[in-house]
Amino acid sequence: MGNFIRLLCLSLLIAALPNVLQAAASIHCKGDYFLYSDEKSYIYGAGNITLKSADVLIKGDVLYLDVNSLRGVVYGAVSVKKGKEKKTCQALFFTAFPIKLLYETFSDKVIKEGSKELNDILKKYAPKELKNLELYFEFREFRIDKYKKIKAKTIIPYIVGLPTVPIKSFTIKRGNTPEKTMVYFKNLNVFGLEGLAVTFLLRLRGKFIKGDFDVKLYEKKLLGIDDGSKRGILFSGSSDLLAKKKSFLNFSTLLNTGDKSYNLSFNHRRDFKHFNYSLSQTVSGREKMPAFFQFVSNFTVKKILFLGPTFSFTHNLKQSYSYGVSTPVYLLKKVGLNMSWSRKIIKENYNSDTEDFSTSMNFNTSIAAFSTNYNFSKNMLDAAIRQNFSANVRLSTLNFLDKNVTIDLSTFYMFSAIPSGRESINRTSPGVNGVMASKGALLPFGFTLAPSFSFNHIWDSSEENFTDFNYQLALEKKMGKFKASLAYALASRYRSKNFYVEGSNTQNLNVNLELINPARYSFYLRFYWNNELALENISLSGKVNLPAGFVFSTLALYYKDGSRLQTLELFLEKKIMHNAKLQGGYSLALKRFFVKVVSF
Amino acid sequence: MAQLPYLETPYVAELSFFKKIENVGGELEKEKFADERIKSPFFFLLEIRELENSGELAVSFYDKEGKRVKRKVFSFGEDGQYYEYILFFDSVAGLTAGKYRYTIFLNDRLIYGAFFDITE
Repeated sequence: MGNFIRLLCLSLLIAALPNVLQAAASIHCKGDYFLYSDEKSYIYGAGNITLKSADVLIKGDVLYLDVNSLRGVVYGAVSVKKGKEKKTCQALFFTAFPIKLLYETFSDKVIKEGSKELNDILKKYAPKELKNLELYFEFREFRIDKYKKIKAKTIIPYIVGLPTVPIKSFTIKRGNTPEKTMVYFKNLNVFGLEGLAVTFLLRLRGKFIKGDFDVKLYEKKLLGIDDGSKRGILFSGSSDLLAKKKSFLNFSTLLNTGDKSYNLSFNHRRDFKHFNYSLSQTVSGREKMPAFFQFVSNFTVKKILFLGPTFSFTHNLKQSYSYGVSTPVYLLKKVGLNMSWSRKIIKENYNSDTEDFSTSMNFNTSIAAFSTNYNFSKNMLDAAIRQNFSANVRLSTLNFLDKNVTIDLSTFYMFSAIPSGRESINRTSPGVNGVMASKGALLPFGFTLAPSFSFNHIWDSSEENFTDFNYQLALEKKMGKFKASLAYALASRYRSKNFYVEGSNTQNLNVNLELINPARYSFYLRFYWNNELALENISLSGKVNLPAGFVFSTLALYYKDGSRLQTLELFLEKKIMHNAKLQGGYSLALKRFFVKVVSF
Repeated sequence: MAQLPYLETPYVAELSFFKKIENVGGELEKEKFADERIKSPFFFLLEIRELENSGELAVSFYDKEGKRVKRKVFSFGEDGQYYEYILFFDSVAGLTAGKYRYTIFLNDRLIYGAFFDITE
């Protein structure tokens, strides 16, 4: 009852929204039944359909109308009166603004007359597809204009499939939003991240301002979403302050009354022929947390000889700040080269003063891709220096046996020098990676065998070496609706240091049995053998489609160790929306019966 | 509000194509095309909802030039009976690869049509 009252209030709220758009040229439609889906922006109509526009009158049996493209079709015993001209056909394809018609009749041949470009490319939604959505309307009469505004009469709005209050007349689609200051209903969302949410758009249009803000009223607790905030208002969007019709200050905002958080940002940017600059101030915070301020500025010279430097300065309105310069280097066309220098000073809970120099380079050839990075960082407080260098060469994929076997090889070199007291610890790590994979080979009796193999080796400072091997083998056989597969994985890790070698192997084995008939049932049975190749667990999942859209599902997980049934769930479920389903059943893990709505 | 809208007109709920459809004890066993591309021969499955009384349903196939190449006719129902839905299916063979169009006539009135492709 409580939910019904909430939906009732919501319906009245929607119905009370002002109608501010005046229709331009429009099409007036009447019939026994129309169905409009807000999400698909689509109308289906049936029974004694009439469409009237200026000097055109169309009568027929069935209507499909895509509101976004303003294209539609009328089927049945179609009659068209255009001025003094009268015609009949069985399918009439049309565009609404301007009105263009294609008449078709079907016998041994398709006979076409009229605008031939209006071919039957229209997507047609069945009523049950349109009803499977969060918000739809049933009505008997509507008017649509070229801005796609739809005003209907004798309406029942359905929210989450539930009928709400019948309405005599209502604008069910606002259409293209006019360029003027206004507030209007934007959409209704159920089962989203914010639970049940109704969103209004606040549009500001004036000589000195241009902006759009969303005002979202959300209710989480009603739908069982428990993430701290039960309900609230989310205000978000951005706006520009204008001078001579150009933006000189942009501000964006995010205010949430639910978790009492805010984020405000002011941005100013100018672009000139040879340079541009930007200034930005951000303020953000949350209840019981200190506010965070940050000022960021950038100045970029578009090109000086072979450089395009950007100077930046950042300040957090306390005592921490940073400044620096970075630039691409346009020396060689195919080589991407970047250099940057910056200094960062932090004076908050701790003090820090660092100077960084970085450079990176990359280029591609037909046989390999090369990339390098170098970073030099100096701590200005204790003069400690940290350095990192890396180089990577990745060869292009090698294909064999008509791409059935592929080999990928890459090699890398890393160097780091990290300060430790008065010393510096240097470390070099060259390495190589390789992956060989196969799509599989067909064996006798319909078996498929797909092996894959990968290795990587690292020489760590020439003292300690690491080598990994990974091997996988999959064997599969399909027999109608039944599929059996066996997957074996072996991972070997070796570490050699000075004169001794450590090594370990891990392996596992899976056997999967699947029985699938997509329209009726699906069952998966999995056996898992652990590193000692001893059976560890067995899992089963299954679904059976029942009449009236119900599905019977089961999940079970059995551990051999201790002979215990870890999980057993038996439940019925029914899809109630395109993104939500109702579940009810028994869970052994929870040791109770349950009924819940889950979104997916 | 005695004039509230109510859908009581037959409509096409679904039309889909399969490699094979068999009626096994009143249940339809459907086999999909492996890559979901329609190849000849094929089966079509049509679901019409909100039907009353007896009638005739015709599914016609037209080639790219608009010439009818196949027509399948079904008689259904009994007078005085209401059917929430009826499933119609049949096989179509002998069509070469290309673009085709189908139309669905219910009691001589066109209620639906669309294009589809047959691949090699």
